[in-house]
Amino acid sequence: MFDHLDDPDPYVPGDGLRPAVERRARAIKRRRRAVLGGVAASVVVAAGVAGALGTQRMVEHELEQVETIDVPNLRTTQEPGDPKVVLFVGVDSDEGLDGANRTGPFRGDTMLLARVDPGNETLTVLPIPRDLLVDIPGQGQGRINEAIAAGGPGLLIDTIHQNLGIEVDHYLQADFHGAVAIGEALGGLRLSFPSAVRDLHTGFEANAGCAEMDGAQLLALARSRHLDYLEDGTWRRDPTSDLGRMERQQAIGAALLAQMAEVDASDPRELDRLLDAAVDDLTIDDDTTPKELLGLFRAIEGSTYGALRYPVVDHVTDGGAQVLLLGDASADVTAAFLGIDQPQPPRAPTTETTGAGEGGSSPAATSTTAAAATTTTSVPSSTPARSVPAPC
Amino acid sequence: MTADRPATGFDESFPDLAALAYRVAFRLLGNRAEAEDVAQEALARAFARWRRVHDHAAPWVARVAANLALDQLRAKGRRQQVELPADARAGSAERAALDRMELARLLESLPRRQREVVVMRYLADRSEADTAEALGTSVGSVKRHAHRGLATLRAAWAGLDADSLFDTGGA
Repeated sequence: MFDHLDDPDPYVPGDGLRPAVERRARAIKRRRRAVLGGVAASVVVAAGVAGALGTQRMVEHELEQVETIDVPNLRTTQEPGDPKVVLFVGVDSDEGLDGANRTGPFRGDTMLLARVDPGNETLTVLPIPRDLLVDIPGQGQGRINEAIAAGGPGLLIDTIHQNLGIEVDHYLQADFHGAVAIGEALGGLRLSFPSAVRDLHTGFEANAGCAEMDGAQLLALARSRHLDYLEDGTWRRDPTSDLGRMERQQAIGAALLAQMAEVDASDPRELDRLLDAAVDDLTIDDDTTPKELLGLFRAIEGSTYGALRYPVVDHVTDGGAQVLLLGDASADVTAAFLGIDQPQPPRAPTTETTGAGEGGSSPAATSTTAAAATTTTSVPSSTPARSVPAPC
Repeated sequence: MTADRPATGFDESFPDLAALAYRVAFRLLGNRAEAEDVAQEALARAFARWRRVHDHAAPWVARVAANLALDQLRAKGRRQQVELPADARAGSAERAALDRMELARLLESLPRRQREVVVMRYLADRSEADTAEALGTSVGSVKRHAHRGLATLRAAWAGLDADSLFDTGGA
């Protein structure tokens, strides 16, 4: 049908093509090994789609290679088909390079709860603010991200249960780099900033509005601690540094999940390759069998994606530590996350659903709504909405 | 787990795959050097993961070559705006150049899955079964997307006095 667009001269590959192909292939393999890690969300993307396409044995084989750890305190009463809560903990291996920022084994840099409900085909994501002040069982009060350093994933799960009332069924932990690599392999991730942003340190820049970001951009974004955003023609710096960085990483994770939920189908082998790479840096609780994990991924594929956010309030402890407290409507958010119907809550939690026409909405815009209504000692520890992107 | 694997069978398939990748790329790019670059990259990517793609290498390579060519057109489109005089349509080479530009633009306007199916079916001349295999979907889905994609292209192209392009393509 497009014959008339063919090269009129017959094509004969030159002698140099074959060796050139092999050289280039070697470079590709090197780069792949160097770049691909895998955050839990990225593995969900790859495994979910590959799993959905019936390449079960291949995927199970990959998943069997995932490193496992003993995680106490997981809920084990959910049956197949019941809603499941997955705790994702993302760590940035760059932290290891920086060195100074690390305390203990590692801290949970990005903590994300995802609830998969196969019944009504929904996937709901709820980030856990890293600086949330909670009662860590056996440890006293502390930031929630300190739980994992103090007592491993089991203590974090217990902390979440005691403080938020959410029980966790599966635990996944991974390095952040993989999300970026997989995002690139998916052909880029769509993220939308409310205004133009830049980071002179990492070289990241983006205009306002929905944009497809490739791997290099995502990595620069994920690493950004010094993000400037344009407001009224002036560049302003996100003053929160780490917090903003974490929120942006969560946005990338959310974009991955959102774009996975909209995947129709794709090349199963390509996705298997992604998974192959991503499993290297993935750790999962040893109670979750590859089959269970696969079932979970299958449920995610094609689900309607929604994001929730806890309202938080700035607070300074007696010791002078700047932390966050849960705001008024947080019980509503928990209930919404758990799919519990509520009789007309006074203030409904904010839910965003990805879909046509909602590209410009920003979940960050809802994250600080409760802050203004409190009398707690306040420091500017909430991230400016303009410096956090949203999936679009 | 990403240890190097012997590329058994790659050499045997190489000439056919090279010709296929080149043809797909040339139909979109219309430039020998660019098409060869795309072919080389597509083949290298296949080689790098040969263990996974060897049993469906042709549709895989066709798909990657098409995507690379479209990427290149997109990048080029930002750099330069090619303008050809209207009477250039008289010559077949110029006609082909115009068709290419228009085709690329129309392909970009299609939803992703439709675009992939159209590219596989009509640019890479792969069968419905091959296309389904490459895209990890069913033959029925390929039929549906090809039908829709082609209808969109036809409708858009009708206003451009270039309908000869679709003379032979049945939906």
